[in-house]
Amino acid sequence: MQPDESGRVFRNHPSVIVSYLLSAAIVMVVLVFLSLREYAWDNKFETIAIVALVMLATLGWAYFFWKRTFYIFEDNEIHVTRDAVFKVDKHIQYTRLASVGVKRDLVNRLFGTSTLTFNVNSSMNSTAAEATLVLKKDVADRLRDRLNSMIFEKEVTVEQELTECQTLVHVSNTDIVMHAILGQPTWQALFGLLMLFYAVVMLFADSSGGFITAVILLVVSEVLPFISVILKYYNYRIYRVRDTVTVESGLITTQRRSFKVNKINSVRIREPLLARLFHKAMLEAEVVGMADQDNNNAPVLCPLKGRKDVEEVLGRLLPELVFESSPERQPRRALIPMLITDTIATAIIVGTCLALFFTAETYLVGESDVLTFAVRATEVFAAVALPLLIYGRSGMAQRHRTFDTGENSFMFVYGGYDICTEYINYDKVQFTQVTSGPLQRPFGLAKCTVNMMSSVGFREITSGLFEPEDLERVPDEVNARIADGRYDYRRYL
Amino acid sequence: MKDGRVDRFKVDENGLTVDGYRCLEPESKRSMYLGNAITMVISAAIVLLIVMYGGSWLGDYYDIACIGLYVLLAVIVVYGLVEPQITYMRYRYRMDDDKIEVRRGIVYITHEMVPIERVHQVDVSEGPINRMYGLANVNITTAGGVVTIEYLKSDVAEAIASKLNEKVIKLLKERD
Repeated sequence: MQPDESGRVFRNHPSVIVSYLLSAAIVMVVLVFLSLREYAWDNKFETIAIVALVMLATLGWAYFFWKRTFYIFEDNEIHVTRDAVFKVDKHIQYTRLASVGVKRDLVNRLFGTSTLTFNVNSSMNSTAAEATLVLKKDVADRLRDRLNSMIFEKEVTVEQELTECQTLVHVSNTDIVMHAILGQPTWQALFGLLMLFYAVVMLFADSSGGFITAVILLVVSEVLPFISVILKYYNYRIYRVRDTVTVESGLITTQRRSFKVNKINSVRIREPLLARLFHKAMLEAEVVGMADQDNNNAPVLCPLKGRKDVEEVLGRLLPELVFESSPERQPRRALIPMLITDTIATAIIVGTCLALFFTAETYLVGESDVLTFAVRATEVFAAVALPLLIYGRSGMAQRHRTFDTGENSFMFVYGGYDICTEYINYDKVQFTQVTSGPLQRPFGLAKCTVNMMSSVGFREITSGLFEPEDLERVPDEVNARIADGRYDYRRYL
Repeated sequence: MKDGRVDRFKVDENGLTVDGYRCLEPESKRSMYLGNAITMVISAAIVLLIVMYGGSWLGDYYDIACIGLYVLLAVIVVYGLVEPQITYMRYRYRMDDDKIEVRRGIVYITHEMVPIERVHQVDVSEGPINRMYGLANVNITTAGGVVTIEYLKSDVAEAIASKLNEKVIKLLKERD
């Protein structure tokens, strides 16, 4: 088989071999310079020979795979064939495709190529693209135009998309920086603050080990996610052409991903505590087949903006899913089982923390003034702040949790500090559970969990506490839609 | 009626609840008791080993650790003795043309509902203890996870599985 002129059979651009070599080189650098530094220094020639051998083997293996892998774009499906060590024959029907993405990383830019990613609407292998194809940018654009018209029935070219399609929401790069700071979950922000506190304490206590550990945890929990969000969502644009939504963004690696509206399972307005303080919110969608190795998150449909702006974007972007809501608030009596649960949780968590820190006192208090201060501060935090945080969560949850049912979707508002308003399509619910615990039963309350496919396999969404009869409206409606024909599987192909 | 509410777990002489749910066979209790007995023996053996040989590495915490382990063992034993009876009393299931429903739970009572339209795969599994009592589980796989109907008579499990498979195949054929 050979790539043909008709534009039906493709082979990856040879630059994929360079990508493989680059990955192998990074692994070798990490291995030689970080793990086996002393051995490598003492045995220079052996080390060079081994590295050269590994790189040569990678080159041979990558060339072999590249040479024998073909992508055939048939009338109804993509056929991926590889006759290498293991024979691969993969058929991906166009109707099963949830999204086609375009990614351009540094290697792509260097060689003037684009990476096309094809994701299917399945919970199996949902964290990895079903197929990826690297082509020269102009060839990739032409192929994407053809696929757009075939799969998504879009009549605009990639060039027209870039110039003519207006973004549904104007997002400045300052908004993206704010999104990176305020959009993080509250637990993450709290953990980051704690690590910053310990890093400062350890610095003054002259404990290099403690300082490095705290800094590493701070970098992993705060700094890296912050940089990653900025790199991912810089130059953000979103637009809808007929039934296809396209999201494009990226600073170093640019991504443009398209998906059909009927592949959206649910859409949620997320309001972390920090963002809520500034009346900000963000919009995310749960789309099966949108994840890839670099981005396992649900696609962001609107980065951090004012709550009203986000609602407006949602109404314009996905009017099919939203409805005029007069939500039912979580009954006041729900606060009693929540507070009893909090009291039990406080006793266990605070008891364990204090037991640990009183044990630590034996070793740490008296070592230095700074360490004594740190231990005492942590004990106060565990004894005072933790119970306040636990009880405060229930107070917040009671204020915000609501539930409502619409014609095509239903809405759960859930969470404590971080509030989520999620509109879920009845037709995407796989199964439901209405559960009542021993503390909830005496008050005639229960919670409803709906299971759906998600971008990372499957996902459960749980409501607040409501009367079981009210919550049973969700499974009843899911069934009623199947029984009376309002659910039509063809609408979701 | 129970506290002014319908008792959804009470069965009539035909073995059906007021909503038409079915209950488990008495053999299921024996299977649960045996399973729990094995768990109790293994837990007791682990506790015994720690009590006998853990003194050196538990140091000053030996006494408090032993008390904790005895309490844990007591909880496992009490749970093991009580759980089969409550599970048997509370476990109810039903299947009609559109959906499968399971009501179950000891501490948390759950009502699960799976539309047959969403079923991808159905299989019957038998563990060694269940096999001794002629019992089996029906695992119903959807794209959103798996729901299991446990401790059914093997022939009942097979019948449910084949009925479900027939319905799923019929649905797929209608689509073709």
